[in-house]
Amino acid sequence: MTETKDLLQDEEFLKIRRLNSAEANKRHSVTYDNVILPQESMEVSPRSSTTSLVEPVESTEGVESTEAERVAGKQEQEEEYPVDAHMQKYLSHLKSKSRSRFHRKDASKYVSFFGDVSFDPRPTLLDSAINVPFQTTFKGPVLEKQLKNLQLTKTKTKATVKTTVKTTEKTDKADAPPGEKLESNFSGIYVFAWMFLGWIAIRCCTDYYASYGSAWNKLEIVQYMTTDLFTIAMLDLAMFLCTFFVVFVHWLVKKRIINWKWTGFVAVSIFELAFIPVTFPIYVYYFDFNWVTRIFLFLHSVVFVMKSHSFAFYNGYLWDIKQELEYSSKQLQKYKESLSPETREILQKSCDFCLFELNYQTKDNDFPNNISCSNFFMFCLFPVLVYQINYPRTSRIRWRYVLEKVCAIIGTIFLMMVTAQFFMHPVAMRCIQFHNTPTFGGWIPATQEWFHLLFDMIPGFTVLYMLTFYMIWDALLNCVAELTRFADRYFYGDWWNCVSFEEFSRIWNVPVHKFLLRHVYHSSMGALHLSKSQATLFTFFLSAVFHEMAMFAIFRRVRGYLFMFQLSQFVWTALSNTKFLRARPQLSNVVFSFGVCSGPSIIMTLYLTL
Amino acid sequence: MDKKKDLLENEQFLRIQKLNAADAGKRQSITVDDEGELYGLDTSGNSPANEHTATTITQNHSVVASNGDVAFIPGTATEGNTEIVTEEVIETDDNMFKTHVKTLSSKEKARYRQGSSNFISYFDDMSFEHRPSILDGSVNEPFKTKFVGPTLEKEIRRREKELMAMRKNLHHRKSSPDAVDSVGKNDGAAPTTVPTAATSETVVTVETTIISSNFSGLYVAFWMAIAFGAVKALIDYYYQHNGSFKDSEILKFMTTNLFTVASVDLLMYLSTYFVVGIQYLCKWGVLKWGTTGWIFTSIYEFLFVIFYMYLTENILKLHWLSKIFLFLHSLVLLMKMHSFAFYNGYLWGIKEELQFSKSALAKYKDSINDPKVIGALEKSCEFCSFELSSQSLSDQTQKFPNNISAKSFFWFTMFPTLIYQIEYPRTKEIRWSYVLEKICAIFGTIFLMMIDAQILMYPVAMRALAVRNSEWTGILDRLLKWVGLLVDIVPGFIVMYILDFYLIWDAILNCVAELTRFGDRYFYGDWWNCVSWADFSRIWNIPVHKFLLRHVYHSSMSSFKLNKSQATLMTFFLSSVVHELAMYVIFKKLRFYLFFFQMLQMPLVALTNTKFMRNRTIIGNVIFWLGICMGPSVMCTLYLTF
Repeated sequence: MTETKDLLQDEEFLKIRRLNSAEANKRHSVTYDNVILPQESMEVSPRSSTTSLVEPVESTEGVESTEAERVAGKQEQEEEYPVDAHMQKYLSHLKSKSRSRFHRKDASKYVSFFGDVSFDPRPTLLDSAINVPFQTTFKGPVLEKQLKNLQLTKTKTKATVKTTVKTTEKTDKADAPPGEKLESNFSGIYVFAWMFLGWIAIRCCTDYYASYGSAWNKLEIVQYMTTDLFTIAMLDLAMFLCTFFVVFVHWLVKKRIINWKWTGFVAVSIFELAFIPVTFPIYVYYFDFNWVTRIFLFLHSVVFVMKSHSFAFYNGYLWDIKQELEYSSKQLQKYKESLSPETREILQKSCDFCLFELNYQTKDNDFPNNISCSNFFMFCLFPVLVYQINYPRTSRIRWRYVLEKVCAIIGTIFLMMVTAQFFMHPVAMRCIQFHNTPTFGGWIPATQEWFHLLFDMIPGFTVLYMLTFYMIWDALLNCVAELTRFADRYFYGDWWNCVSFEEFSRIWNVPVHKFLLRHVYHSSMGALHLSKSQATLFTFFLSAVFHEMAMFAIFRRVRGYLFMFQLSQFVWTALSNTKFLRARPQLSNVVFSFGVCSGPSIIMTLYLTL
Repeated sequence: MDKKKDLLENEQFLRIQKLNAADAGKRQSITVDDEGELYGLDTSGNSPANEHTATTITQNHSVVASNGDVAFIPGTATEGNTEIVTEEVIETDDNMFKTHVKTLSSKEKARYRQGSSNFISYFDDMSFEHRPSILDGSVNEPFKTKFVGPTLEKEIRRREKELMAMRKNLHHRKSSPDAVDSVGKNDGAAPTTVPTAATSETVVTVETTIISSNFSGLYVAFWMAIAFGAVKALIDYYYQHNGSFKDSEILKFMTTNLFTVASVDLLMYLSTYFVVGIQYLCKWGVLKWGTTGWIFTSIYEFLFVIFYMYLTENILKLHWLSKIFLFLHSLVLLMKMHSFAFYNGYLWGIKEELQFSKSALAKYKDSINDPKVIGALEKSCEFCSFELSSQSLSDQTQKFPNNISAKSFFWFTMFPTLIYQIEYPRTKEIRWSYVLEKICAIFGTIFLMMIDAQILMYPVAMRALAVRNSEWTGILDRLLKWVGLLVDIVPGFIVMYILDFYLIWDAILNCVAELTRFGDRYFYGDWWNCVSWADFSRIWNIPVHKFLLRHVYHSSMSSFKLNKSQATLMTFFLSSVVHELAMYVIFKKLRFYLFFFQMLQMPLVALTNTKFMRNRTIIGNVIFWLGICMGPSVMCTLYLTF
């Protein structure tokens, strides 16, 4: 069942990607805006400036050693000349970087590269809002007891003043203010929802059994889920092992065999750029897999690329910081007496900032000792895409919780298979038939039929969508987090309350959002010097490209429907920010729910029929 | 469409009755148990009315001595009548008086809390307050006034900022001296900062707060999913029947005999004014409630239901849907009549007692030296005055018996309640946007129910009838088929059940309450959280529960002198009989399946109170939902196939 889980996990990853996108244009607070902007330009500046510094440093050392050997104790003026030139260049770089490294209003505050993403011990939403209260404080219906207590209180109050009608009358009015607020909870609805789905599944299976007997193996969905499992596992393992290449590169950098800047950077970039183009044809064409297998392997390869990218560029940034720290410290120590106070301050600030960055994540495993296979292996197991040296951990594994989640995973997969087989597969077959029919007697009957297919698809797809979300973001990720003692369980927000797709793209899939925020949005602003809106557009574009590739992996045809829908989120975001909709969050939520219910079905129907 | 609403309303009323029952034997908490004791004591206060109903007027001394003599006092207090009363009292004064005082002394225990002067009123068993319904109070209103989209992320982001600021402060304070050290020796930097990182980690670890969140958006998603499902089903049906809806059986059910049903309903409604006539006669002194009024009313109530069952079944030969609607509506009207009649009947008894006690007190105050006797009479006057006054606090013009009028009864029949009172909490205005919203909800839900019935339930019902009419092939074979039918009908029936509940208790009752400015919207509790059937039978249907509590449970304890468990059994039994009658109206056969399941609730309640089950609320809720999901379907398929 492990392969089955992974299949479904990454099948859903497709849907996430379809709807997920990076940070939107607008921030919610001024403070947040200030914090992010300077940091972004800082992010890549160290690399470019360090690149220019590497060669001068080497040449400086060469010059020094040569002169020292030849002319011992000669004139100091000759030594100062090359030092001055390089130092001035270096100092001007530090000066420009300090603008983005320190808070605009408070110069003593750092703006860290790592400030954009943080992990804390947080329970997942369903656990904290439903499961934990249900298991610890649930006592049945509460409203009636509250009302009875209220009534008793009033009865006692009335009893003490029943001697006079007027007093009682006044008390009565005082006792009954309109619109009393009483607490109530809906935990029982949660039980009912699962039981209802269970009953539908039982009914579908019973109907099938009555019609076809015990021929479960003939079901297409069962066949999809059970064929080529070994081959898929081998391919997945091979891809996983390939990702250790980035560990090897950083190990070489650690041993000073190569430098991160240029050699390491280029090697890793080539690896990442080649990983998907190389693996994609293998599982899409070479092995003649069915579409479930193809989409699983594609999504998993994307996960591997994101993990290796985050590991590589996180450590790459710290290599740059470490190098800068060493150089600044050396210069500060060497020329301490002869430097001007201003220059000394710049160097001192550089040292302080670099130390801060290096120590920010340090606890048990300081950089560069974190570069190891075991550390990367653990990172691969954690349910996270953004690499850090340390994460919040829990103290122990709750095996009962793990068992609960395993049951949830298996149960949800079962429900998904039933939904796919009995509610979606028939409609999909009709879509393919529609696609293969050359004419339909004109475009009006064809349009009618298409809408008929769409409305047939929506209920089943909506259920499958919800179940897939629950299975991956709640059951699966929480199970993995518990097994690895990963304490930050904030994998999704309360996206069902969204009033705009901008919010949805942020909180539907928090792990991917964090990756895109740091490694696409902020990186593109730093490296390519894009503006905020340009960086947003670039992030959406990149996301749309990957979504379209996912569609290609499934349908083996390029249509651009999902790409278009993905980019149309800009329009929706602009609409959501209008004065009319901003004042009506209820209406916006209804529009959002309509989009979430109908969107996936529209896209799927389009790809299958046109 | 009004008829459709009423049809469905009372169709659901059937299901309510099917599952509803009176108060259970056990209370949930000590406080509630105290209230139970209050109820128990209060039921004795009910006895005056009933005792008076058994009294007959007679001049015979021996008969007078064996009955309550209070009835001798005429209803009106004119000067001439006073003289007559005086003469009668003189004739039998000693015996009558002693009997009266004795009666008052025994009633005193039930009317006052022990050792205090606090009253225990007949009307303390329930009260009406300004209360919103659960969905309005918990879902709709927060959604309209406070909804701003997802809140969890904003909360998390705010905390992240605070935490980052905290970390930076810690690091910043540490890094200055570290920098100095690093100038001397770079390798020394790492060990120095370990405590700082540990401190940050400790701060992070301590913060394991459960962040509040709301699920309003899921409410929207739920209705949207239902709507999409309905649209799909409707389109499928349209294509399968050559672009026509005329073949729909459910549509035929809902549209035939509407005029006839409306006429019978109107006739039933007008018939209920008979009890107003009885009360008028009592008011004018033509009748005495205690002797003849209650007999006439009781006979009329009994014949009322029988007549309308006979009319719809044998004379008009209506469809089962029309019959069950009219049956349930006749029950509603019966309960309203009963509450109006016996509420005023109780007050008639109180009024007579008050007059007699006052006269006796005035007459014998100086000649009797026994403090107990004087005290009993004074307490009787106080209690009766309180009972009469406390029911019309805000409008003295409606004080009993001025409340007896056709207008008052008319308003009572409009209010969404089954318990008659002179005054109810009222709202100030009608919110027409709210009314419009509820009307849309009513029609939308009826539409969904029709689709559900036609596409998910009707085919299974037809197959069940086919099984019943097929050749008998043995009990085992039929049981197997029955199980198949049961599994088939469960999903559709669950949806129907939930929609029925929402339609009646939320949409219709709230709509009617808003139109009549009825302030108490507590028509149902959070029954989906029930952990036992005792809870469910109380809070699933609040209006009927209140009626059964006062007019069946408490009345049977005071009139028939039953104890608590016997009264509970009596209430369950009566409820089961009425449920079985409903099944008879639909299926034309007596099988007692529903009767059996109804009475089965009593051992189930006992099981729930065992030590093992009492504290396992989660299992209780799961078992409850299993029962709710399967129960209606089991019932329906049993009646259809056996």
